[in-house]
Amino acid sequence: MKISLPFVLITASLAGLCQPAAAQIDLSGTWVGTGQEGELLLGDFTGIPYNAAGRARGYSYSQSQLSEPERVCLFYTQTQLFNGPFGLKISKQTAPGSDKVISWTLGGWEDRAPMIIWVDGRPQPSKNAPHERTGYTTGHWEGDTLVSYTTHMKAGYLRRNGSPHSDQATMTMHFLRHADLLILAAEFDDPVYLTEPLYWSRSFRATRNAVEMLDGPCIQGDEGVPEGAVPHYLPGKNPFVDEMNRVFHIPVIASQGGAETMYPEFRKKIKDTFVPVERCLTCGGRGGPPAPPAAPPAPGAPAPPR
Amino acid sequence: MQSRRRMSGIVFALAVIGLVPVAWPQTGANADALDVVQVRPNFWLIAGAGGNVGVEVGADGVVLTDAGSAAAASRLIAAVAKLTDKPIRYIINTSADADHVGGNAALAKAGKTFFNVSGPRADMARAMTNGGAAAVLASNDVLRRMSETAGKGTAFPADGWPTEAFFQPHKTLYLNPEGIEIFRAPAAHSDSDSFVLFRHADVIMAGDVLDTTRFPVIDTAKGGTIQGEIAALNRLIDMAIPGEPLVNQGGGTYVISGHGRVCDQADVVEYRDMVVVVRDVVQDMIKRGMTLDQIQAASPALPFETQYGVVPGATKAFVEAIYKGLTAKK
Repeated sequence: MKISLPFVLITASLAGLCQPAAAQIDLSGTWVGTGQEGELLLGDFTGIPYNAAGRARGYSYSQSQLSEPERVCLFYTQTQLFNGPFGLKISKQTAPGSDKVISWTLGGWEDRAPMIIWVDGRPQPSKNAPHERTGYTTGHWEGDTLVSYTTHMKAGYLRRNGSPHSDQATMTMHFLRHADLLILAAEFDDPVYLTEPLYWSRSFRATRNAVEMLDGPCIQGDEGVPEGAVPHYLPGKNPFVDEMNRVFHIPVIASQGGAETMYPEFRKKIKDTFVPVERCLTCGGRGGPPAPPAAPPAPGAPAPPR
Repeated sequence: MQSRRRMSGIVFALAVIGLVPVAWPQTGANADALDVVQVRPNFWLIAGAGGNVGVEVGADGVVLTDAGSAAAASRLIAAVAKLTDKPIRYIINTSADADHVGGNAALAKAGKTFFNVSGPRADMARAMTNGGAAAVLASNDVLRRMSETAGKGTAFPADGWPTEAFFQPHKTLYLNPEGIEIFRAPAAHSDSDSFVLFRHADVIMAGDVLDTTRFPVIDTAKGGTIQGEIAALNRLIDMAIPGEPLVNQGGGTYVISGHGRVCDQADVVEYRDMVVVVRDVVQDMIKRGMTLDQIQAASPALPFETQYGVVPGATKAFVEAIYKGLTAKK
């Protein structure tokens, strides 16, 4: 009996024998972001499902906290993948003497530590293990999608405006590649500050250009906040609570966040009270209303938004 | 940069084949629900035996920081024995709390003193060391608290009391071989607090001044104060060295809390900031003439309650301790 080679291959493939051992899709390369969702307006928690503690923590935040000497080089957690302006540099690592992929690395930026996604089946560390700037990430393939799970993050920010997340937060990411387009979709859970998961997505496009990732050293400088000082706002004293209202006419009931503000139905609730701004404020500097009055500084020296 | 990349590659390769525990301190030996976390090649955290216990191992033997609760002592002894066959030589206490000193007697007896207890001066050596047990080193205030009268007897049995009590603000040892420094933290969680710095391992055992599971317990009945708590946290921040300038390579001093996870300087800053913010809010309310009841009702610790206030009564006790500290007559 003669058995053809194609038949053998097809049969073996159906039986799963020809499946790649680990990665179905090669994610390695350099990727540039096609946009980012980072928000810098203070007091903008719109669409974040905060509980009362999360909102209160956000309103107690002063941007000058970033100038505490010990925070100068602390930067951001892995949430910055979605909120930062930079691209991605992805590489894969194989076991010694083998082509089996054991991890993927998302290179670090100057304000975000690298992320290693272990796909070799290792367990998460103990709950009592340290929380590093990298977080701890494991992953597996679901078809052509790499699914990663990050724990052990440091406390940080969901946006670069002081909107907090705790060190108990976890992030599940899906890496979906379509030719030269890479989509990262994430579910972010935080039992301390969120009542529901928060969802993000961001797209990247492959590039052959050499992209400098600025993964350099950091040296603490004196940014004006003395050691031991903790800039913050007392309850009810944050002058930026209504900044979204002043700039975009978004009512505080929306900008204060909460699960309700995530869903389209919420627009109906504020429709009758919302008055659109007269001119586009985010159209490349083509105008807009006068800037809101300068707010009084928080205790400690002020620092410009990063 | 070239050499840095090359080094990273070597470290990564070694981590892959398991020669160095570079990527993360992993959970190691586990004994009956105790969580044993390797923090450094010669240093472990054992959680679940009451307060956190630090285990430093070297050629001279084992140096424990704290001894857990009395009820967990046998499990703790078994867990240490799985890490090394070296004897326990020293137990250093960070406070006089039962969940930190309760295991002193049993752990010390499971160890062995450096003194010769069978030689010509055996009687004296036995008397100094509870019959040849490992030494228990702590501040005089720990000894005072453990030996103070409680009911018909003392707060703790005498065989668990410190055998080496010191009065100085700073005490040192050199074992294993590394410098071990003990720093007093006056009037913080209590009046008996100390930090223990292992200079080679680069680990600080912080005791209950730092508790990542809850708001700090400021035991005002035993001399704790909010001012001392903040000063102690600032001292910890000063002592811990962050992983700079190569921030993306990690590293830095580890700070092990009295309860909860292993921290670094950034985590202590996060905790210190929380304490200061709540202190400031309470202080502002006091200035506005609010009573303690009114302050409690106004939830001054609201931004942090879902993380540090989950233990029943923790928020109320913390706010009350702050209030007492800020309104006490000087």
